Amino acid sequence: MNINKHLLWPGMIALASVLSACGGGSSNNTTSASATIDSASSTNTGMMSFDITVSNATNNQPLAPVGVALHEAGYSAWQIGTAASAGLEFLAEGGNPAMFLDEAQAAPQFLTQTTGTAPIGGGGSETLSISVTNAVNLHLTLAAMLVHTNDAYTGVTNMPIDLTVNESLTFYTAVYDAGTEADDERAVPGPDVGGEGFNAARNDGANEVRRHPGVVTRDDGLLTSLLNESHRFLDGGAARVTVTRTQ
Amino acid sequence: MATKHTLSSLSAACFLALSAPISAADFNITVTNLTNGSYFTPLIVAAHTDAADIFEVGTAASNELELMAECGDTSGLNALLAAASADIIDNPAGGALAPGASTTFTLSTNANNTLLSLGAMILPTNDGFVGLDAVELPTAGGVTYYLAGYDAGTEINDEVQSAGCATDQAGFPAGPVPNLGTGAYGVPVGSVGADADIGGADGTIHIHRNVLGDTYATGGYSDIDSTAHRWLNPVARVTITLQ
Repeated sequence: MNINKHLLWPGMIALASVLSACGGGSSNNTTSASATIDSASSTNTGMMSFDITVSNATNNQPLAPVGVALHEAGYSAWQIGTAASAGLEFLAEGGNPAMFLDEAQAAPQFLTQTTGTAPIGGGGSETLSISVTNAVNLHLTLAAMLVHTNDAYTGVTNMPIDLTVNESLTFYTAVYDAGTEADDERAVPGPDVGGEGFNAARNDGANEVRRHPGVVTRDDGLLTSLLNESHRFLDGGAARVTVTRTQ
Repeated sequence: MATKHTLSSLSAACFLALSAPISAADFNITVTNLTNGSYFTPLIVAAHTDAADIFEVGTAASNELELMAECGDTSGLNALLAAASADIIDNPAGGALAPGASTTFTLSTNANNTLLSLGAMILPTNDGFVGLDAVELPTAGGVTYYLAGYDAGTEINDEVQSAGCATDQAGFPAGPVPNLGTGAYGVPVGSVGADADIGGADGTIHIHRNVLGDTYATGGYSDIDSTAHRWLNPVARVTITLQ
Protein backbone atom coordinates (compact mmCIF):
# COMPACT_ATOMS: atom_id res chain seq x y z
CA MET A 1 0.00 0.00 0.00
CA ASN A 2 1.26 3.40 -0.84
CA ILE A 3 0.85 5.71 2.09
CA ASN A 4 2.74 8.53 0.54
CA LYS A 5 -0.24 10.72 -0.24
CA HIS A 6 -1.07 14.37 -0.13
CA LEU A 7 0.33 15.04 -3.54
CA LEU A 8 0.10 18.56 -4.68
CA TRP A 9 0.92 20.40 -7.80
CA PRO A 10 2.95 23.56 -7.20
CA GLY A 11 0.69 26.18 -5.77
CA MET A 12 -2.09 23.79 -4.91
CA ILE A 13 -2.52 24.60 -1.23
CA ALA A 14 -3.55 28.01 -0.09
CA LEU A 15 -4.58 29.52 3.14
CA ALA A 16 -8.26 29.21 3.75
CA SER A 17 -9.90 32.56 3.98
CA VAL A 18 -11.57 31.53 7.18
CA LEU A 19 -8.26 31.42 8.95
CA SER A 20 -7.08 34.56 10.57
CA ALA A 21 -3.40 33.89 10.92
CA CYS A 22 -0.73 31.72 9.45
CA GLY A 23 1.31 30.86 12.46
CA GLY A 24 4.49 28.89 12.49
CA GLY A 25 2.24 26.01 13.16
CA SER A 26 3.12 22.84 14.87
CA SER A 27 3.04 19.94 12.52
CA ASN A 28 2.41 16.32 13.23
CA ASN A 29 4.46 15.46 10.17
CA THR A 30 1.45 15.89 8.02
CA THR A 31 1.22 18.88 5.85
CA SER A 32 2.80 22.07 7.07
CA ALA A 33 4.85 23.65 4.34
CA SER A 34 6.53 26.05 6.67
CA ALA A 35 7.59 23.24 8.92
CA THR A 36 9.07 21.36 6.00
CA ILE A 37 10.93 24.27 4.55
CA ASP A 38 12.14 25.86 7.73
CA SER A 39 13.40 22.91 9.62
CA ALA A 40 16.26 21.60 7.56
CA SER A 41 18.87 21.81 10.19
CA SER A 42 19.47 18.23 11.13
CA THR A 43 22.94 16.90 11.55
CA ASN A 44 23.63 13.25 11.08
CA THR A 45 27.07 11.81 11.49
CA GLY A 46 26.03 8.35 10.36
CA MET A 47 24.98 7.18 6.94
CA MET A 48 21.69 8.33 5.50
CA SER A 49 20.18 6.62 2.46
CA PHE A 50 17.39 7.84 0.24
CA ASP A 51 15.27 6.47 -2.58
CA ILE A 52 14.34 9.20 -5.03
CA THR A 53 11.48 8.28 -7.36
CA VAL A 54 10.98 10.54 -10.36
CA SER A 55 7.72 10.11 -12.28
CA ASN A 56 7.27 11.91 -15.55
CA ALA A 57 3.97 13.81 -15.13
CA THR A 58 3.80 14.99 -18.74
CA ASN A 59 2.12 13.25 -21.62
CA ASN A 60 4.93 13.12 -24.12
CA GLN A 61 7.95 15.08 -22.97
CA PRO A 62 10.61 12.50 -22.17
CA LEU A 63 12.80 13.53 -19.29
CA ALA A 64 16.47 13.13 -20.10
CA PRO A 65 18.52 11.20 -17.51
CA VAL A 66 18.03 12.95 -14.20
CA GLY A 67 20.96 14.62 -12.46
CA VAL A 68 20.79 14.51 -8.66
CA ALA A 69 23.11 16.18 -6.17
CA LEU A 70 22.94 16.18 -2.38
CA HIS A 71 24.66 19.10 -0.72
CA GLU A 72 24.58 21.36 2.27
CA ALA A 73 22.60 24.58 2.31
CA GLY A 74 23.65 27.43 0.08
CA TYR A 75 24.27 25.87 -3.31
CA SER A 76 21.78 26.93 -5.99
CA ALA A 77 22.29 25.53 -9.47
CA TRP A 78 20.19 28.27 -11.01
CA GLN A 79 18.30 31.40 -10.15
CA ILE A 80 15.38 33.02 -11.94
CA GLY A 81 16.55 36.14 -13.71
CA THR A 82 20.20 35.22 -13.94
CA ALA A 83 22.13 33.52 -16.74
CA ALA A 84 22.31 29.73 -16.76
CA SER A 85 25.65 28.11 -16.00
CA ALA A 86 27.38 26.27 -18.84
CA GLY A 87 26.47 22.98 -17.18
CA LEU A 88 22.81 23.91 -16.94
CA GLU A 89 22.83 24.99 -20.58
CA PHE A 90 24.40 21.65 -21.54
CA LEU A 91 21.73 19.80 -19.56
CA ALA A 92 18.81 21.88 -20.84
CA GLU A 93 19.77 21.83 -24.53
CA GLY A 94 21.24 18.36 -24.90
CA GLY A 95 19.96 16.38 -21.94
CA ASN A 96 23.33 15.35 -20.50
CA PRO A 97 23.57 16.11 -16.75
CA ALA A 98 27.33 15.40 -16.44
CA MET A 99 28.62 18.96 -16.61
CA PHE A 100 25.75 20.16 -14.43
CA LEU A 101 26.81 17.69 -11.74
CA ASP A 102 30.48 18.58 -12.21
CA GLU A 103 29.56 22.15 -11.31
CA ALA A 104 27.73 20.95 -8.22
CA GLN A 105 30.72 18.84 -7.26
CA ALA A 106 32.95 21.90 -7.45
CA ALA A 107 30.81 23.71 -4.88
CA PRO A 108 32.02 23.65 -1.26
CA GLN A 109 28.59 22.45 -0.11
CA PHE A 110 28.69 19.33 -2.33
CA LEU A 111 28.21 15.91 -0.72
CA THR A 112 27.31 13.33 -3.36
CA GLN A 113 25.58 12.82 -6.69
CA THR A 114 23.90 10.29 -8.92
CA THR A 115 22.46 10.14 -12.43
CA GLY A 116 19.45 8.45 -13.93
CA THR A 117 20.21 5.47 -16.12
CA ALA A 118 18.03 6.42 -19.08
CA PRO A 119 15.41 8.90 -20.24
CA ILE A 120 12.01 8.61 -18.55
CA GLY A 121 9.15 8.65 -21.03
CA GLY A 122 5.81 10.35 -20.46
CA GLY A 123 4.08 8.60 -17.58
CA GLY A 124 7.15 6.55 -16.71
CA SER A 125 9.14 6.43 -13.48
CA GLU A 126 12.63 5.70 -12.23
CA THR A 127 13.90 5.24 -8.66
CA LEU A 128 17.45 6.26 -7.78
CA SER A 129 19.17 5.35 -4.54
CA ILE A 130 21.71 7.62 -2.94
CA SER A 131 23.57 7.63 0.38
CA VAL A 132 25.52 10.21 2.26
CA THR A 133 27.52 10.27 5.48
CA ASN A 134 28.29 13.11 7.85
CA ALA A 135 25.63 15.29 6.32
CA VAL A 136 24.81 18.60 7.86
CA ASN A 137 21.74 20.48 6.75
CA LEU A 138 21.02 18.25 3.77
CA HIS A 139 19.72 19.82 0.56
CA LEU A 140 18.70 18.45 -2.83
CA THR A 141 19.33 19.67 -6.35
CA LEU A 142 17.69 17.69 -9.16
CA ALA A 143 17.23 18.51 -12.84
CA ALA A 144 16.30 16.90 -16.15
CA MET A 145 15.76 18.24 -19.64
CA LEU A 146 12.35 18.08 -21.26
CA VAL A 147 13.72 16.42 -24.35
CA HIS A 148 11.27 17.72 -26.94
CA THR A 149 12.09 21.36 -26.28
CA ASN A 150 14.88 23.74 -27.14
CA ASP A 151 16.14 24.38 -23.61
CA ALA A 152 13.45 23.50 -21.08
CA TYR A 153 14.21 21.58 -17.94
CA THR A 154 12.42 20.66 -14.74
CA GLY A 155 13.80 20.33 -11.25
CA VAL A 156 14.51 21.85 -7.88
CA THR A 157 17.62 23.31 -6.39
CA ASN A 158 18.75 23.88 -2.81
CA MET A 159 15.64 22.15 -1.42
CA PRO A 160 15.91 21.17 2.25
CA ILE A 161 15.61 17.43 2.91
CA ASP A 162 14.91 16.81 6.58
CA LEU A 163 13.49 13.34 6.95
CA THR A 164 13.60 10.68 9.60
CA VAL A 165 13.92 7.05 8.55
CA ASN A 166 10.82 5.91 6.63
CA GLU A 167 9.56 9.45 6.18
CA SER A 168 9.01 10.66 2.66
CA LEU A 169 8.54 13.95 0.90
CA THR A 170 6.62 14.34 -2.36
CA PHE A 171 6.53 17.36 -4.63
CA TYR A 172 6.04 18.37 -8.23
CA THR A 173 8.74 20.26 -10.09
CA ALA A 174 8.12 23.31 -12.26
CA VAL A 175 9.38 23.73 -15.82
CA TYR A 176 12.08 26.31 -16.46
CA ASP A 177 13.53 27.75 -19.63
CA ALA A 178 17.31 27.94 -19.42
CA GLY A 179 17.20 31.07 -21.56
CA THR A 180 20.15 29.88 -23.61
CA GLU A 181 18.45 29.05 -26.90
CA ALA A 182 15.61 30.59 -28.88
CA ASP A 183 12.46 28.48 -28.63
CA ASP A 184 12.10 27.87 -32.35
CA GLU A 185 10.92 24.28 -31.70
CA ARG A 186 13.30 23.11 -34.43
CA ALA A 187 16.67 22.83 -32.69
CA VAL A 188 15.10 20.13 -30.57
CA PRO A 189 16.65 16.72 -29.87
CA GLY A 190 14.78 13.51 -29.28
CA PRO A 191 14.03 10.24 -31.01
CA ASP A 192 10.87 11.30 -32.81
CA VAL A 193 11.99 14.84 -33.60
CA GLY A 194 15.64 14.64 -34.48
CA GLY A 195 16.78 18.25 -34.37
CA GLU A 196 19.80 19.75 -32.71
CA GLY A 197 20.95 19.23 -29.13
CA PHE A 198 23.53 21.38 -27.40
CA ASN A 199 24.87 24.46 -29.12
CA ALA A 200 27.14 26.84 -27.22
CA ALA A 201 25.64 29.92 -28.86
CA ARG A 202 23.24 31.81 -26.62
CA ASN A 203 20.57 33.14 -28.91
CA ASP A 204 17.54 33.40 -26.64
CA GLY A 205 17.95 37.13 -26.28
CA ALA A 206 17.30 37.37 -22.57
CA ASN A 207 19.99 34.86 -21.52
CA GLU A 208 18.25 34.38 -18.19
CA VAL A 209 16.62 31.40 -16.51
CA ARG A 210 12.86 31.92 -16.35
CA ARG A 211 9.73 29.84 -15.98
CA HIS A 212 8.87 28.15 -19.27
CA PRO A 213 5.83 29.44 -21.18
CA GLY A 214 5.02 26.07 -22.77
CA VAL A 215 5.48 24.89 -26.33
CA VAL A 216 3.31 26.08 -29.22
CA THR A 217 3.63 23.14 -31.68
CA ARG A 218 2.62 22.92 -35.30
CA ASP A 219 -0.84 21.70 -34.33
CA ASP A 220 -1.40 25.06 -32.65
CA GLY A 221 -0.22 27.17 -35.53
CA LEU A 222 3.59 27.29 -35.42
CA LEU A 223 3.92 25.69 -38.81
CA THR A 224 7.72 25.51 -38.66
CA SER A 225 7.66 23.61 -35.37
CA LEU A 226 8.89 20.02 -35.27
CA LEU A 227 6.60 19.39 -32.29
CA ASN A 228 2.97 18.30 -32.26
CA GLU A 229 0.19 18.75 -29.75
CA SER A 230 1.18 15.65 -27.79
CA HIS A 231 4.30 17.50 -26.63
CA ARG A 232 2.39 20.26 -24.86
CA PHE A 233 2.40 20.61 -21.08
CA LEU A 234 0.62 22.81 -18.56
CA ASP A 235 1.66 24.29 -15.27
CA GLY A 236 1.32 21.78 -12.49
CA GLY A 237 4.70 20.11 -12.70
CA ALA A 238 6.57 18.01 -15.21
CA ALA A 239 7.89 15.57 -12.64
CA ARG A 240 6.49 14.13 -9.45
CA VAL A 241 9.35 13.43 -7.09
CA THR A 242 9.20 11.35 -3.93
CA VAL A 243 12.20 11.30 -1.62
CA THR A 244 12.06 8.51 0.97
CA ARG A 245 14.68 8.12 3.64
CA THR A 246 15.45 4.42 3.90
CA GLN A 247 18.28 4.55 6.45
CA MET B 1 5.39 5.74 6.63
CA ALA B 2 4.97 9.39 7.32
CA THR B 3 4.76 11.97 4.63
CA LYS B 4 5.69 15.57 4.32
CA HIS B 5 4.40 18.10 1.90
CA THR B 6 6.41 20.67 0.23
CA LEU B 7 5.26 23.57 -1.79
CA SER B 8 6.63 25.87 -4.39
CA SER B 9 7.17 29.54 -3.83
CA LEU B 10 3.82 30.14 -5.49
CA SER B 11 1.96 28.75 -2.60
CA ALA B 12 1.18 29.39 0.98
CA ALA B 13 -0.19 26.99 3.48
CA CYS B 14 -1.43 27.17 6.97
CA PHE B 15 -2.47 24.57 9.44
CA LEU B 16 -3.57 25.65 12.85
CA ALA B 17 -3.14 23.80 16.11
CA LEU B 18 -3.09 20.21 15.04
CA SER B 19 -3.37 18.96 18.57
CA ALA B 20 -6.95 17.80 18.57
CA PRO B 21 -7.38 14.04 18.56
CA ILE B 22 -8.71 12.57 15.39
CA SER B 23 -12.35 11.64 15.74
CA ALA B 24 -15.59 11.58 13.83
CA ALA B 25 -16.19 15.02 12.40
CA ASP B 26 -18.32 17.11 10.08
CA PHE B 27 -16.70 19.16 7.37
CA ASN B 28 -18.13 21.95 5.27
CA ILE B 29 -16.69 21.55 1.80
CA THR B 30 -16.99 23.91 -1.16
CA VAL B 31 -15.83 22.92 -4.63
CA THR B 32 -15.55 25.64 -7.28
CA ASN B 33 -15.04 25.10 -10.99
CA LEU B 34 -12.42 27.72 -11.90
CA THR B 35 -12.35 27.07 -15.63
CA ASN B 36 -13.58 29.33 -18.38
CA GLY B 37 -15.64 26.83 -20.32
CA SER B 38 -15.20 23.34 -18.96
CA TYR B 39 -17.85 21.39 -17.04
CA PHE B 40 -17.29 18.93 -14.23
CA THR B 41 -19.50 15.86 -14.37
CA PRO B 42 -21.10 14.83 -11.05
CA LEU B 43 -18.43 14.85 -8.36
CA ILE B 44 -17.58 11.99 -6.08
CA VAL B 45 -16.12 13.06 -2.76
CA ALA B 46 -14.98 10.70 -0.04
CA ALA B 47 -13.21 10.57 3.28
CA HIS B 48 -11.29 7.33 3.56
CA THR B 49 -8.31 5.50 4.99
CA ASP B 50 -5.10 4.47 3.30
CA ALA B 51 -6.96 1.38 2.11
CA ALA B 52 -8.57 3.40 -0.69
CA ASP B 53 -6.82 5.22 -3.50
CA ILE B 54 -8.76 6.59 -6.45
CA PHE B 55 -5.74 7.65 -8.52
CA GLU B 56 -1.98 8.06 -8.49
CA VAL B 57 0.06 10.06 -11.00
CA GLY B 58 2.50 7.83 -12.86
CA THR B 59 0.43 4.68 -12.49
CA ALA B 60 -2.26 3.16 -14.69
CA ALA B 61 -5.85 4.16 -13.98
CA SER B 62 -8.21 1.64 -12.45
CA ASN B 63 -11.23 0.60 -14.51
CA GLU B 64 -13.33 2.56 -12.02
CA LEU B 65 -11.35 5.76 -12.60
CA GLU B 66 -11.44 5.19 -16.35
CA LEU B 67 -15.23 5.01 -16.23
CA MET B 68 -15.35 8.35 -14.42
CA ALA B 69 -12.73 10.04 -16.62
CA GLU B 70 -14.19 8.89 -19.94
CA CYS B 71 -17.92 8.90 -19.22
CA GLY B 72 -18.45 10.86 -16.01
CA ASP B 73 -19.83 7.74 -14.33
CA THR B 74 -18.81 7.54 -10.65
CA SER B 75 -20.59 4.25 -9.86
CA GLY B 76 -17.38 2.22 -10.04
CA LEU B 77 -15.46 4.54 -7.74
CA ASN B 78 -18.43 4.66 -5.40
CA ALA B 79 -18.36 0.88 -5.07
CA LEU B 80 -14.60 0.85 -4.63
CA LEU B 81 -14.78 3.47 -1.89
CA ALA B 82 -17.78 1.87 -0.21
CA ALA B 83 -15.88 -1.40 -0.03
CA ALA B 84 -13.17 0.47 1.86
CA SER B 85 -15.72 1.85 4.33
CA ALA B 86 -15.32 5.39 3.07
CA ASP B 87 -17.72 8.22 3.86
CA ILE B 88 -19.04 9.16 0.43
CA ILE B 89 -20.84 12.14 -1.05
CA ASP B 90 -21.89 11.34 -4.60
CA ASN B 91 -23.10 14.11 -6.88
CA PRO B 92 -23.32 16.99 -4.38
CA ALA B 93 -24.14 19.53 -7.08
CA GLY B 94 -27.11 17.52 -8.34
CA GLY B 95 -25.59 17.26 -11.79
CA ALA B 96 -22.70 18.86 -13.59
CA LEU B 97 -20.78 21.76 -12.09
CA ALA B 98 -20.71 24.53 -14.69
CA PRO B 99 -17.77 26.85 -15.31
CA GLY B 100 -17.58 29.35 -12.46
CA ALA B 101 -20.11 27.47 -10.34
CA SER B 102 -19.65 26.22 -6.79
CA THR B 103 -21.24 23.52 -4.70
CA THR B 104 -21.20 23.41 -0.91
CA PHE B 105 -22.03 20.38 1.18
CA THR B 106 -21.34 18.70 4.49
CA LEU B 107 -19.31 15.53 4.77
CA SER B 108 -19.62 13.55 8.01
CA THR B 109 -16.67 11.30 8.60
CA ASN B 110 -15.91 8.32 10.78
CA ALA B 111 -12.87 8.49 12.99
CA ASN B 112 -10.57 6.44 10.78
CA ASN B 113 -11.42 8.22 7.55
CA THR B 114 -8.91 11.05 7.75
CA LEU B 115 -8.02 11.38 4.06
CA LEU B 116 -10.08 13.23 1.46
CA SER B 117 -10.28 12.43 -2.24
CA LEU B 118 -12.54 13.72 -4.97
CA GLY B 119 -12.90 13.38 -8.69
CA ALA B 120 -14.99 14.36 -11.70
CA MET B 121 -14.59 14.18 -15.45
CA ILE B 122 -13.78 17.42 -17.22
CA LEU B 123 -16.00 18.02 -20.25
CA PRO B 124 -15.24 18.42 -23.07
CA THR B 125 -12.27 16.07 -22.90
CA ASN B 126 -11.73 12.45 -23.86
CA ASP B 127 -10.46 11.29 -20.49
CA GLY B 128 -9.57 14.38 -18.50
CA PHE B 129 -10.51 14.70 -14.86
CA VAL B 130 -10.14 16.96 -11.90
CA GLY B 131 -8.89 15.21 -8.83
CA LEU B 132 -7.76 15.48 -5.27
CA ASP B 133 -5.65 12.55 -4.14
CA ALA B 134 -5.90 11.63 -0.47
CA VAL B 135 -5.04 14.84 1.35
CA GLU B 136 -5.34 14.90 5.10
CA LEU B 137 -8.50 16.44 6.47
CA PRO B 138 -7.84 19.33 8.84
CA THR B 139 -8.10 18.63 12.54
CA ALA B 140 -8.81 22.27 13.25
CA GLY B 141 -9.76 25.32 11.21
CA GLY B 142 -9.71 24.87 7.47
CA VAL B 143 -7.62 24.61 4.37
CA THR B 144 -7.97 25.36 0.68
CA TYR B 145 -6.57 23.27 -2.15
CA TYR B 146 -6.18 24.23 -5.79
CA LEU B 147 -6.43 21.27 -8.13
CA ALA B 148 -4.83 20.43 -11.45
CA GLY B 149 -6.50 18.74 -14.39
CA TYR B 150 -5.27 15.20 -15.04
CA ASP B 151 -5.42 12.83 -17.97
CA ALA B 152 -6.37 9.27 -17.09
CA GLY B 153 -4.14 7.92 -19.83
CA THR B 154 -6.84 5.52 -20.97
CA GLU B 155 -7.94 7.06 -24.28
CA ILE B 156 -6.40 8.94 -27.19
CA ASN B 157 -7.40 12.60 -27.10
CA ASP B 158 -9.04 12.68 -30.50
CA GLU B 159 -11.53 15.38 -29.42
CA VAL B 160 -14.35 13.95 -31.50
CA GLN B 161 -17.86 14.11 -30.06
CA SER B 162 -19.47 10.70 -29.79
CA ALA B 163 -23.02 9.50 -29.33
CA GLY B 164 -23.31 7.94 -25.90
CA CYS B 165 -20.30 6.78 -23.98
CA ALA B 166 -18.50 3.62 -23.05
CA THR B 167 -14.99 2.94 -21.93
CA ASP B 168 -12.76 1.78 -24.75
CA GLN B 169 -14.93 3.76 -27.14
CA ALA B 170 -13.25 6.66 -28.91
CA GLY B 171 -14.59 10.19 -28.58
CA PHE B 172 -16.23 12.10 -25.76
CA PRO B 173 -19.84 12.62 -24.70
CA ALA B 174 -21.24 16.13 -25.12
CA GLY B 175 -22.94 16.15 -21.74
CA PRO B 176 -24.12 19.64 -20.82
CA VAL B 177 -21.54 21.49 -22.91
CA PRO B 178 -23.19 23.95 -25.33
CA ASN B 179 -22.00 24.92 -28.79
CA LEU B 180 -19.68 22.03 -29.49
CA GLY B 181 -18.56 21.45 -33.03
CA THR B 182 -19.55 18.46 -35.12
CA GLY B 183 -17.98 16.37 -37.79
CA ALA B 184 -14.36 16.70 -36.71
CA TYR B 185 -12.00 14.18 -38.21
CA GLY B 186 -9.97 13.98 -35.03
CA VAL B 187 -6.75 15.41 -33.69
CA PRO B 188 -3.98 13.64 -35.58
CA VAL B 189 -2.05 11.19 -33.47
CA GLY B 190 1.54 12.27 -33.63
CA SER B 191 3.33 10.56 -30.81
CA VAL B 192 1.18 9.03 -28.17
CA GLY B 193 3.17 9.38 -24.95
CA ALA B 194 1.35 8.53 -21.74
CA ASP B 195 -2.06 8.99 -23.35
CA ALA B 196 -2.60 5.38 -24.35
CA ASP B 197 -1.28 2.87 -26.81
CA ILE B 198 -2.81 2.81 -30.23
CA GLY B 199 -3.16 -0.92 -29.77
CA GLY B 200 -5.45 -0.37 -26.82
CA ALA B 201 -3.26 -0.77 -23.75
CA ASP B 202 -3.57 2.09 -21.34
CA GLY B 203 -0.91 4.62 -20.49
CA THR B 204 -0.55 6.23 -17.09
CA ILE B 205 -2.18 9.09 -15.25
CA HIS B 206 -0.45 12.41 -15.89
CA ILE B 207 -1.10 16.12 -15.78
CA HIS B 208 -3.38 16.97 -18.67
CA ARG B 209 -1.72 18.92 -21.46
CA ASN B 210 -4.96 20.81 -22.25
CA VAL B 211 -7.36 20.31 -25.09
CA LEU B 212 -6.26 21.49 -28.51
CA GLY B 213 -9.57 22.44 -30.08
CA ASP B 214 -10.03 24.37 -33.28
CA THR B 215 -12.21 27.22 -34.52
CA TYR B 216 -14.36 25.28 -36.98
CA ALA B 217 -17.97 24.58 -36.01
CA THR B 218 -18.04 21.70 -38.45
CA GLY B 219 -15.12 19.57 -39.51
CA GLY B 220 -11.57 20.45 -38.59
CA TYR B 221 -9.38 18.58 -36.15
CA SER B 222 -11.62 18.90 -33.14
CA ASP B 223 -15.20 19.31 -31.97
CA ILE B 224 -13.84 21.36 -29.08
CA ASP B 225 -13.65 25.16 -29.41
CA SER B 226 -10.08 26.33 -28.86
CA THR B 227 -11.34 29.80 -27.92
CA ALA B 228 -13.76 28.57 -25.26
CA HIS B 229 -12.74 25.22 -23.80
CA ARG B 230 -9.07 25.47 -22.97
CA TRP B 231 -7.93 25.89 -19.40
CA LEU B 232 -4.86 26.64 -17.35
CA ASN B 233 -4.18 25.06 -13.99
CA PRO B 234 -5.60 25.23 -11.42
CA VAL B 235 -9.01 24.07 -12.61
CA ALA B 236 -10.74 23.83 -9.24
CA ARG B 237 -10.66 25.17 -5.72
CA VAL B 238 -11.66 23.07 -2.72
CA THR B 239 -12.20 24.67 0.66
CA ILE B 240 -12.53 22.36 3.66
CA THR B 241 -13.61 23.67 7.05
CA LEU B 242 -14.03 21.62 10.20
CA GLN B 243 -17.39 22.30 11.78
